[in-house]
Amino acid sequence: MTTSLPSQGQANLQLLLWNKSAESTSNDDLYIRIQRLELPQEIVSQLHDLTAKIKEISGKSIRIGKIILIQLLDFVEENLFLVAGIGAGVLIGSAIFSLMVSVPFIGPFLAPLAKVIGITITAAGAILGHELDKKLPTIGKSLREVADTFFKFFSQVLMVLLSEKQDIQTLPAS
Amino acid sequence: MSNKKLSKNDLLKAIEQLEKNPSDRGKILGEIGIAGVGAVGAGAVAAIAGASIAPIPVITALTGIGVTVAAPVALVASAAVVGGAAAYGVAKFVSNSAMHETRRKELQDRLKIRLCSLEEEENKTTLTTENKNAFIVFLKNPLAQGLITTEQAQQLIELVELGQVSLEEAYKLLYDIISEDREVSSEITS
Repeated sequence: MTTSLPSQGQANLQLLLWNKSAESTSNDDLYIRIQRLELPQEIVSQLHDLTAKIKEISGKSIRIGKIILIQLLDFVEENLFLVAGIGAGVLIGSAIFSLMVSVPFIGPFLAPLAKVIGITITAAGAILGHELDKKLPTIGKSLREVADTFFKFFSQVLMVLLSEKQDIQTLPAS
Repeated sequence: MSNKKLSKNDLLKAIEQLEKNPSDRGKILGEIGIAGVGAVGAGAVAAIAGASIAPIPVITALTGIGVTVAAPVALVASAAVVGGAAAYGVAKFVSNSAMHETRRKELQDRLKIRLCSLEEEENKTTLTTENKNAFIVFLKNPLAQGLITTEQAQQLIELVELGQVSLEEAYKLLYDIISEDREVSSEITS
């Protein structure tokens, strides 16, 4: 049986590669890439704040915010043609929506950004893309599918590493 | 990281060349897009000084019309800085059962021996060309068997070349992947 889900070791390797890539990318480079998207200042500010977020995963300090930001920028730059005339904010919204739905632990990192963009997180934890749907009533869904495809491997890697952490925490002391 | 887009076969051929002619490592690594510290520095400078980002040539999903814009040098350079990040979604892993048990065992044993000797040598030797070459050659089997992707192999080679990942850490990561594969395979066959 062929599976596309990465193993624990493969996920660890990929996370190390992403982390090294994040470490070797300067914040200035990222800021220049953000500025080129001509986003509203409050979104720019929230995006740039991601560069400072660090999380311990598998016993290592991972620059998770920077990794997510690089992924977001790659996604937006690759798909900017999809929303010609509408703006990069919508693409970022679809990316954030996709990430928050598929990787729950990313939620706290992206919540401030999601709020600025107009993605609502309900008390029950459901995520609603009201603003996205208002802006893109016809292509909102397909845009989210594009985002889901782009972030599939990224989400899988994070989920594999997160599930390992959860397993350790729930094991009985004996 | 500045990884040139390579096919698995290209990388495997390059590794075989390195195995046969270790003295040509500079040329061989250059051909697979790993040029060392100098090239990465140049990429970063180009990106900072770079012009505006041009859209990547694509066919739009909405109109079906191809929008082709020549990618300026700055775009290519900034893409290099971001590293091999573009193909996250396309990584595929081959079925665990495709790998022969004895071959896997052999690979794991060899890796274990190398890890032990590295730990012993760690305090007295620095990173040598020989053990860097040995690492690249070692990647051949995991790559051929689909345990790691071409892009991952390229990035690992580059990180080791730049001294950003120690050989020991790189071997340990591979060891985990190979060991895990064995466990899964044992579960299937038992």
